[in-house]
Amino acid sequence: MEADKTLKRTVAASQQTVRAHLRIVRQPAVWFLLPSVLILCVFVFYPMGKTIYNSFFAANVRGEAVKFVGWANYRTLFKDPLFLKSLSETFVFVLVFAVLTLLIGIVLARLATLKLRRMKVFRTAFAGTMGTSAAAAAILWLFLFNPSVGMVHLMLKAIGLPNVNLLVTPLGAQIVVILTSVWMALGFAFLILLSAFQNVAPEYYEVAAIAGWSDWQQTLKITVPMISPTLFFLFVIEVIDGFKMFAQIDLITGGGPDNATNFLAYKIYLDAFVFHHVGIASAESVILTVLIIFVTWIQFHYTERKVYYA
Amino acid sequence: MNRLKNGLQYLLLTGVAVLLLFPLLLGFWASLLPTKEIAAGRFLATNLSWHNYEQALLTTPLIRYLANSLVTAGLITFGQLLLCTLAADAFVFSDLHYKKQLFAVFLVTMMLPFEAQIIPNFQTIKAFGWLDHYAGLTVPFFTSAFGVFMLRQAFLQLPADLVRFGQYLGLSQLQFLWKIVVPYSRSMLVTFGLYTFLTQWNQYLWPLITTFSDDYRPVQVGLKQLQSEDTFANWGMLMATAMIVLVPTLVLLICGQKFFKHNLNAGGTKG
Repeated sequence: MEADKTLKRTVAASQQTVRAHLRIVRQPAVWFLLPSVLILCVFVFYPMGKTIYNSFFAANVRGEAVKFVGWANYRTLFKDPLFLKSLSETFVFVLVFAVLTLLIGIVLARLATLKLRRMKVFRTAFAGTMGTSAAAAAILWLFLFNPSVGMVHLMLKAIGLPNVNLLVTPLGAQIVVILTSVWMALGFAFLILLSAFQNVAPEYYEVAAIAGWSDWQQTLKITVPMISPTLFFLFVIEVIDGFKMFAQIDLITGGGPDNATNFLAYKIYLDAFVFHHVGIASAESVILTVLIIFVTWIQFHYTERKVYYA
Repeated sequence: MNRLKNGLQYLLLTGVAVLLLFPLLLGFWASLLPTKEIAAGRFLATNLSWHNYEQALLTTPLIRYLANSLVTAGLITFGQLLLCTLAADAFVFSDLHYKKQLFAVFLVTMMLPFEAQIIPNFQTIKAFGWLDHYAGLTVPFFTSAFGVFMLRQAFLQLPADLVRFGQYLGLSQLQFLWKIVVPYSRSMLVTFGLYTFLTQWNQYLWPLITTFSDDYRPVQVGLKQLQSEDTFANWGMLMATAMIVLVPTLVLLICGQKFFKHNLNAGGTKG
């Protein structure tokens, strides 16, 4: 009891953070770290190394590296029109996905910061897609765009437009995959942007209102520049997520039609687990890794100076 | 004038909310409709019932899929809470040599995409005899650099006096962790636990390649299974299934709202 009281008092008395010299020196630390280190070694570092290693080998059907081939897998890939197409489609997809998510997220955050009552309801609704699993989202959108019973097609028919099956055309399939992906990512993006919007000091808006700026002028000229660190952070997160997109593609298009949605992460899966080209799939994995490390590096490098920090 | 403007703004907000939630609302509505009405495109039918839910739960392995997901996500959440807490504690409260370097190594793993590691990981799991088993679904995810990072940030917020107090009481490191660090960081631990459960509940790629039977297949992959089987045309039941899959995440999100809000803010502004 007494100890509890003292404990509470000490917590209240001080909010200082721990300084480097204030550590409890004990050896169990090694044991505390060991399980995590072990798992990271077996399931992250080893497979990463093995993937790089495999990318320089030709593998047999069982996926065992059997013959050193140097850069041959990479050379094959960069001469393969299918891979080059996948790569360029991936870039377009990732960019459109990230930009759309950010733009719609900004509009939602602006709407959710209107000075009205009962905003909590709308904020909850706007964040409502967060946590939707990719598989469930894919099923919902698949239903929406189903050529015979889908709402989209019923509406097209109702207003007298021809009933085209979007999912069998390359561009249509890409649009559906992008819409599904953006829809899933919006909840999280909205919440992050909302808190950034709320953190901008109100004085700026007061001055702008006196200067006679309109609502959207204020958003574009004050809010967006002020929250640029958050925008940048979110953009990088969405880009990385975009590169890893998998479940929607597997459920909605299976990479088709005509490989239009065979984006890099999905192609790795197909090459490895459907076609059993482990060497090629490993080389693609290394390329994906390099791309993601590059994007992360840009974030580290530019976050500090290029963006205004409030 | 002002009233009109307010009214228009509410109208706009409602419109956007409905548009945004439309796929969910439509899915829920369709899950209540008899499949033959859906097939005929009669979405305004009024003979609603829970029949699709009954059918999904009773005639498909859905309950088994849900149980598998619960076990998998639950085990991983427990594992991560335990191992990440231990590791974060060591990183904050010990004088281990090369601690900084080791932490940097942990951080590096956050950059390496899991998608690039699946081939060797698949072979490892196969060599361990863990294919199509809970062990293969869970053990690789028992720790995460992100978790260690997040909890380390939380532990660094411990007041210095509290740490001194722990030293004064002569607590062992394990006692110190359990009696002081864990209670003090409860909010962050709950947030992290919820986040982990949600992420793991939604996992798709890894279970897709490592499970082959209904005995271990989690619900996300089960959705694919149900969609590609003969139930394909049974949209009412498929929508009911999707709704059942979404319920746990929605409940978690609503329950965890205040935790998420608080700790998301911290993440967002840190950049």
